[in-house]
Amino acid sequence: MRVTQQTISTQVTERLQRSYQRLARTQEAVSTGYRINHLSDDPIGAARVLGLLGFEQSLNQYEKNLDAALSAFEPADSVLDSVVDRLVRAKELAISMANDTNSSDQRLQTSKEVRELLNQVVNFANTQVGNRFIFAGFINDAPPFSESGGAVSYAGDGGEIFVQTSSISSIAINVPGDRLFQGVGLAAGVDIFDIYLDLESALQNNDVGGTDGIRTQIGRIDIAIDQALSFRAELGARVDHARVAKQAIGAMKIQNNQRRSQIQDADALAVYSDFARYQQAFQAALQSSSEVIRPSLLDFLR
Amino acid sequence: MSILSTLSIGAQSLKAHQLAIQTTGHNLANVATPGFSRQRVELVSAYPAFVGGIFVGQGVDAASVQRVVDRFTEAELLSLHGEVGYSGAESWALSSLQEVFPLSGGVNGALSNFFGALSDLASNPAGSSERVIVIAKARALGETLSLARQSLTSLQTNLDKDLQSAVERVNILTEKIARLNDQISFVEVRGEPANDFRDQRQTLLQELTSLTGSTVREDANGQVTVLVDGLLLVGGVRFASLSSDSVNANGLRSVTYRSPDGTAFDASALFSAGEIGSLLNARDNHVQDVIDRLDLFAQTLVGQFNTQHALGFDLNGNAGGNLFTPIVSAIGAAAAVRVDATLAADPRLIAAAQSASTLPGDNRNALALVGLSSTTIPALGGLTLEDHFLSLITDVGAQVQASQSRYDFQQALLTQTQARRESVSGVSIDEEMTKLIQFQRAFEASSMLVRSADEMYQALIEMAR
Repeated sequence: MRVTQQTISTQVTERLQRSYQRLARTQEAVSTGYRINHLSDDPIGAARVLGLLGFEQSLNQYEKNLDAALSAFEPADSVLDSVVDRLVRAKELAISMANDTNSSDQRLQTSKEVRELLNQVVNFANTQVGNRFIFAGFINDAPPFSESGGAVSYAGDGGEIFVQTSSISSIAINVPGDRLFQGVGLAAGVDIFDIYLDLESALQNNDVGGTDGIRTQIGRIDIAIDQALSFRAELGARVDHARVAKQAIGAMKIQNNQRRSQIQDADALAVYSDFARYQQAFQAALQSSSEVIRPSLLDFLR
Repeated sequence: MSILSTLSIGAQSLKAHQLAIQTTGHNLANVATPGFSRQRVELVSAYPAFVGGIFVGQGVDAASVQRVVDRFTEAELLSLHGEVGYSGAESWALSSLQEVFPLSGGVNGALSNFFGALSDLASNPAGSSERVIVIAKARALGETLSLARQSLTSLQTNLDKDLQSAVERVNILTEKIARLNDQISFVEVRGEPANDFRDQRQTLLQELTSLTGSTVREDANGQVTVLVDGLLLVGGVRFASLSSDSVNANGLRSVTYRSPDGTAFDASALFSAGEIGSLLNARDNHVQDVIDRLDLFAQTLVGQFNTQHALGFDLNGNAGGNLFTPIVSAIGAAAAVRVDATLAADPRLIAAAQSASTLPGDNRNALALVGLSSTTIPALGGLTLEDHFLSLITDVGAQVQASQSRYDFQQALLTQTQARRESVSGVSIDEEMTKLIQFQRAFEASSMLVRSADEMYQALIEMAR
């Protein structure tokens, strides 16, 4: 094949250009650390990377939701602890007042402490966290419980507030007060407020052994303590569930990151050695090009 | 056999070699001229004289000046120019298309953020800051979509401008080619090859083919006919013109063809090759297709969110209104995703609850809105919103990848073929220098011959004295 100066110069330009392009692409991978920098570098890989990025964002969201749930469980748990405490105190009072040695006067005095306990429990049931009354269900912008005319009424609803903890599961972050305090919807549930009110009037009426007497109330208090404890157990189970789910999400995030990195990241070792190789090749091309395009017969016709 | 004929051989030879030196000089002068083919003086020995029973050579004759070309390679180069013109413009257009969809942020990022804000709202449905953020993220989603669509339409406008300049260039080329046709047949009718005119015309034909993907035929008197899908661009000395002044229904230019005798019509559909065909195809198919899919995505998104939102109740206990301003027509939908103005002014109107009687803690409709992220939608081919968007950009990426490798391949083919042409027709300085010395020596030798003949005459004249 006949080779002319034009052939050489076209080839030199073309090859230098190609060599430089290759160098620039490798440099981009070195500087970003990514194998995929444009959609066309790997269209399917790019879409998977974006999908995994979206998934990571939802995992972060689930984690945030679980944190919200865990922080909602804490005050509910401590309220339950205090309620159980007040029920135990009521039982102590009832047991000591059921003793025949007590006078009606002493029982009348004790009824005042029972009234005080009732007020405390109502206050607990109206616990507010932030601007939310945590036992009010959905209608949580006003105190749900109020006492009037010898009865405590509930203005909230039975709504359970769920948050998503994965694409298919969710967890309730509240306990509706009517279930917890009044036994609504429970098999053999008792109304804790009624027990206090009944105990108060039994003490006032000096009624020890009657159908609504102090002894009857002791039995009901036991059921009420069981009821509160079972909700505490349920809350504990939910906290456990949330913690386990958080751990699982943490593990999934790591896995997800690894998968993304496998698809997207440049193999650092390969990229650096490629870069060094291409750089050498480019310099060699420059060197040899300058040798090849210079001489012609003209240099020797003197 | 006379001294006179010796003198005439010397003179002929001087003339022939002077012509050869001039041609060598012409070659050397054009060593960098694109499309130039080296020329060669055809030297032949002159017709011998029959003198005294023997043939006596009569020296050298310069028969003609020919250019050195391989017609097959030239024809192959022409058609390759058409293909490279197409794939080059396509690869450029598509790589601009992929820049509309960056790998981080972008529409899918904005969509994820919006779902995240709704999820935060579900954790605290009465929270006013959560509500404000839902509106902010919804607005950001609309702006991102609208930005993507704007980039796409401005890409179309840029392609349109390229089309306009390509069409103007075609008009210049067709006129020049027709004029060269005239000059070539004028020269060649005298039996001499019109070397330099042919080189010029070949270069112009390459450019015209690159623009239009035209086919070229040469007739007996050396003139070419240039056709695009049966449309005559150049026929001998007559030439057609194109214009891109008329605008179609989408506000984009169409190609109007005006034949040499003046009939004009819209010929956009006939241009399917070359740079013009590629620009039209990229503008009206590739980019338009992405715009349509993005519009469908935006319209579906707005419809889905509004439908679910209307099932809920706001903080005032009223049924949910529009979350986004409703979109009636899919055309332009991606540029029209806006948060409903009434809702944007009052975040309490976001319908997070499922019932008017369970306010303000009810988050069930907020959860349902979050649930749209994993809902498959028949209008989007049974995909979720995110998956539909991802499939859109996967398609874009795959198209870019394919067009780039097509372009690289054809470019490599063109380079090879150009090298082949260069090996036949290219000027080699070394070769020309060698020839120059050779012809110079021949010229010197011829002048010696003239001097010898002169001396012989002198000798004869002396003898007669």
